[in-house]
Amino acid sequence: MSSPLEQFEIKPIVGLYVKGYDISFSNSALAMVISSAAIILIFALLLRKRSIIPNLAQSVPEALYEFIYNLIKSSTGKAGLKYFSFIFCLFLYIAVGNVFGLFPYSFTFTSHIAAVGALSILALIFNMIVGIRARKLGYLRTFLPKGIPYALAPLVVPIEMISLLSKPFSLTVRLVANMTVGHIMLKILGGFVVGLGLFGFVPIVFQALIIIFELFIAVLQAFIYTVLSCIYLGDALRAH
Amino acid sequence: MKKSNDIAKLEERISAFKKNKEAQEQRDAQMSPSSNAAKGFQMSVELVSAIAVGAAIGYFLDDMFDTFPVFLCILTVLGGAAGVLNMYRTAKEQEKGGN
Repeated sequence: MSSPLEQFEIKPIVGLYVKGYDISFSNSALAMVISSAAIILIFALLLRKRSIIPNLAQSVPEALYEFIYNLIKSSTGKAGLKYFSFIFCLFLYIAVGNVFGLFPYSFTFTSHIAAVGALSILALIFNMIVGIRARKLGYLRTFLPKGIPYALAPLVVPIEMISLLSKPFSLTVRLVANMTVGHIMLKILGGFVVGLGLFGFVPIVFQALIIIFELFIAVLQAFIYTVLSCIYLGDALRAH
Repeated sequence: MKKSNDIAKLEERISAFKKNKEAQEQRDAQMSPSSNAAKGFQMSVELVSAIAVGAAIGYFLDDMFDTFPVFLCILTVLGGAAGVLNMYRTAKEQEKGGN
């Protein structure tokens, strides 16, 4: 029987090596391309007929849009709305990637620290650039909040730096751990179905329930990731 | 006379409705998906990730300056401090957000 960890293996589909670096097009990359294409296709289809009074198809993207819009407005204020497209893309990409991973024979790219970590580091760099553009040198206040005596600077500055750098890490670990655990659990329960023979229907019932729960977790984790990105963006835009 | 009585009744009903709504909102907040287990998990991740990042930075600095294990020791402890700070900020955020 195959290991429950086998589903996370990255296999190259098209081998590609540049100067000794392996940049093959893998099943993970394929999953990313498919989910991105799915987002574009679904949105294009739903928004085919655009009218002022939205019909059912048009109201789905509009509800999503308003949901993220209000989220950004409540956590960063008006200044954060400039970066709406980035946050909206982040949410859609992760949510669709999580849900896509639940399909049979697909691949969950959000269960890899490399994939999500790169996204989180990108978000951190984006936040830094936005913060520096908005507050210029005042951004350095992030590392030494107001009201702290300068004598404590040697202690506070490294702590704040680690705190800032740990944010993408905690974002990544949270999402990756949730996705990995769910998929391993499904696989192990799937193994029970085979192992129990006639009584295999018991784990099947459990699996049906867990799949529903996993769907919920997939969207919830994307939502949490987005909320926290918004909060970090808000932190970058204004002093503590 | 009758009219003011009606208004008083209406006000009573409005206040009862408001109370009900507040109670419902509180129940919703308790039932909200991001509660309890997710909150606890978030806290633990916050603490552990800061320590891990601190230790990793310390390790790389040691590697760079050949001073093993000076920076590793210092930055792991500072990472713990950063983790507690992150947890404190998360707790404040959760308190403010109500969920």
